[in-house]
Amino acid sequence: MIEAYLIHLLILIGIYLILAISLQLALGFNGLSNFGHIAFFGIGAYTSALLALSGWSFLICFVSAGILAMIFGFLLAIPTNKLKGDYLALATMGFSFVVYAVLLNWTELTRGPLGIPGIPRPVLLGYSLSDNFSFLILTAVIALASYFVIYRITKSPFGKVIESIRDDELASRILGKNSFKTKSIILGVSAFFAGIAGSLYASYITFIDPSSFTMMQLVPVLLIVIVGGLASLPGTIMATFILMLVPEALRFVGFPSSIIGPMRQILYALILIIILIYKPKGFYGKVEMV
Amino acid sequence: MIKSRNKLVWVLIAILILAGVIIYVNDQKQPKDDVIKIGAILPLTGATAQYGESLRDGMELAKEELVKKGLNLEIYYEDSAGDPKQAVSAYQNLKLKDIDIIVSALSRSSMALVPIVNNDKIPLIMTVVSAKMEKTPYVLRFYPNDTGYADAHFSVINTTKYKKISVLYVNDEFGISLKDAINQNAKEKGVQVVYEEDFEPGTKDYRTILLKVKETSPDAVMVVGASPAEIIGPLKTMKELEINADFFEIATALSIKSVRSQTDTEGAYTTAFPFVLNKSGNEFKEQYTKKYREEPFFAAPFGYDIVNLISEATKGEKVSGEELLNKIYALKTFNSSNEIVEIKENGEINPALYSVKIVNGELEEVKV
Amino acid sequence: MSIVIQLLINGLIAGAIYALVSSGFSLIYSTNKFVHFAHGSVIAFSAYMLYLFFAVLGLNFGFSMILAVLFASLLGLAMNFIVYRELRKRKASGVILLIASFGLLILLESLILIFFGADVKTIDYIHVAKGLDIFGAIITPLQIIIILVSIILLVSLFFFMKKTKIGKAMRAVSDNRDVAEIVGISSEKIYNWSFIIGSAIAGIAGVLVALEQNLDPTMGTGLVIKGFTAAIIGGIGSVPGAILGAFLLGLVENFGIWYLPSGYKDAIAFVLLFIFLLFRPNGILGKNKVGDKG
Repeated sequence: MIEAYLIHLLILIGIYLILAISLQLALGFNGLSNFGHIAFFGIGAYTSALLALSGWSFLICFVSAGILAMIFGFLLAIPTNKLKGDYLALATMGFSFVVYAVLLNWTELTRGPLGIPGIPRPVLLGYSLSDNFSFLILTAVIALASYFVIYRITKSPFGKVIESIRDDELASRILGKNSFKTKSIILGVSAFFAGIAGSLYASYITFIDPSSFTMMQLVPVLLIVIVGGLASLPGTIMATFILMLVPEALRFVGFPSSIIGPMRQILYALILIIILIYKPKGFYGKVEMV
Repeated sequence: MIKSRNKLVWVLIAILILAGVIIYVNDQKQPKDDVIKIGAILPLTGATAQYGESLRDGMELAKEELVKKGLNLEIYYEDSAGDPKQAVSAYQNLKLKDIDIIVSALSRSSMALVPIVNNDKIPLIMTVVSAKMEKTPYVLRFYPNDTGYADAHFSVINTTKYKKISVLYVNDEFGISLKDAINQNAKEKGVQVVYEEDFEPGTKDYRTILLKVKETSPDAVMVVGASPAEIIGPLKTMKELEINADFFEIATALSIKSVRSQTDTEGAYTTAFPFVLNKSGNEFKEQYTKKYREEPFFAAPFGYDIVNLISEATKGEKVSGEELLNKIYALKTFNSSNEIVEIKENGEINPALYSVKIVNGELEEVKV
Repeated sequence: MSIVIQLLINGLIAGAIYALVSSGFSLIYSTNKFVHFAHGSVIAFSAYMLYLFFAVLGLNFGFSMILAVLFASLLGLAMNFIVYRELRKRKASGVILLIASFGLLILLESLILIFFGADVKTIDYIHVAKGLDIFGAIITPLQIIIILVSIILLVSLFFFMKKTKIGKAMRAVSDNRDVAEIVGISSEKIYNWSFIIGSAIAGIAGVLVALEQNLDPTMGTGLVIKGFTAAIIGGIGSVPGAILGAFLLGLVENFGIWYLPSGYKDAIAFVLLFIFLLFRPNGILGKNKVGDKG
């Protein structure tokens, strides 16, 4: 019995880990204040769900989710190239709102607020992952692979370019780096991983609706990235575990069930504010936020 | 080096937390005993919290009464906050407590639970309107379904007086399914729906949408809202804009006195559950008002009835899985707070609804 | 024809509310140079204070209103003092301040949720009054008051910024903080003033929204989003721009949903936000250069 509960938590941790490291890549390493990250998660989830219900294999759904999200990432990079700091934050937020509005109103495609129920669990090599343990294995493999890919990107020579653009875009361009191309690639890659995380989410919960993809859903992910420390991938892992497990531990404290929800929000908010003031690099981070 | 010390600290913290979770989880595992355990996954926070809290209050009232009679049962409440993944987390947590049956609210949360409970063979009773039930033997609905809501008005509506109606509905699973049911009913009765439009949940400003309604000159405006604010808002604005049509609401919000007091509701039509009209088969209303000192919100009797239903089916014994499911179906009917209801083979338990008009602040039943 | 007038009136009412939100927001933005998201929770706080004093404690209405606005103003000041000032001391960038303000918004909304409950509340002061007929369109006395109050407030704000010492100092800090400091203006003091005044305006918005619509714990989030959308459309960093943007937004929304399903009302605002941010970040009246805060 314990296993079922822990397995469920670990699956969610795996999905959020992918979301967090992809945001970390864009925000921590490249300095892109992408507050619309959840939109990519949603695009991935809906793509995967709709394809799955049309009978496509999980592999196709999964990869398509990533690719479609990635395309949107590239598209978003174009008009936002010249924006920085809080303007970029607002523009990406606006993107998030627009995607949400589409998910909610384009009912012919998404069924709007009715959501999409009955999303099938993945079937790999003839074996259906309908039990959670096998789904956890899948999630863990994908999470590890994603971490590995992003890690290699950051450690490569390209990784240096990425960080140089974050630190001083103008200087980087003077030295001949095409910052637009770099930022587009990073936004695209970041979106890809958010998209595949969405595919995993949709296949696990088997039901999605627009309410899971509002901008507010980004708050835990943002918190993980900041608390873990900007530009620190190991920090992100730590932070994901801690920030996902602590609220579950909150159930233990014995608050009346009606205030556990807001109590959790207050906890998140306080941690966020305190970290920003007293430990803005997070626990592991090497940089301040631009 | 500082860096590696930091790393160590973090690893220790992570281990501690993981250990804490494992210990907590072990702690939660109750020893198997003879008491039937109900898990309630309700929206206790968020926009629909009033609904969830009301359900819980009803359930607690029933439990108290049963305990007094010597029938023990336990209820564990979890907050879904209207979020499907939190509902699933709540379910997984409840399973640790050896739950025999789950009660849920809200279509979003329930939809996520349906495949899981069927897999785990744990019965689920939902208080949800819209979700259609197919191939879900372990899922029951104890609530009116969408046709039930629409039938209330349309079975008694004066079709000569109301030839043209406009429908406004909230853009969520509740509003959409009821809107479809209204359209169906209107067609059958020969009433023309001249205009229909949806509005977002939580809309505050109804002026322009009602302007569009005004232009279609309907005899009646029917509003499907999931919360009282979504009924009071349009009603208030209708009066302000001097729209000359009768107001119908379909989801029993105005049958609650405290909701009626928020604006001038004279002459409006609403639906009401039998218990509000004192057609109840039991003393739910009196007991509730005695304990909580306020009028029960419409969700409360469902909590009350579900707990009593479970108790009646099991006679206080600990039963689970398929056996529990069969015992519930074996009851065939149940004397609820909302008259006697039939437990149908497809898992539907639908109480009736009555069409009422608000006259002098009180509810007057509309007869054909 | 009366439809057009009614839509116009609807747009003005919505616009007036947005203007009250966006002007305070813009005042704070232009002075402090960051997006004070938590402005929304100040609005909600004011509404709930009115509810607390008037509906719960039964104090006199006028007195409750004044208290609500006062408390809102103090809350804004407290936010600056406790959080933003600390961050500024540590040379935090605009994005960090934005994220922190997000945290404050969530914190306050959750506190309101715990203390007052999640259900929607109404303030029973003005009963459904007969609307007045203007050229075939209808407007209620409260709505007229809202439009008038916003106009008076905004005109006063305009004169305040132009003529008073503090107003001029605010504009100086907004234009160039370092130069302003050189001529002896204490930027910290000005930051405090911007929060006091901006939050007071938010307080008034909260009170009026509570009366005209209703209260719920998340009412501030939607309003501040519309507020900054309006500010961006009109020209962020420019208070008159924010006001212009607000009325424009109100009008476009209402005329827009005459033709489109009303479910698209928010989508209209978001699309406008997105378009302006991408193609005309200066807004209609804006003068600051794009993203020069880095």
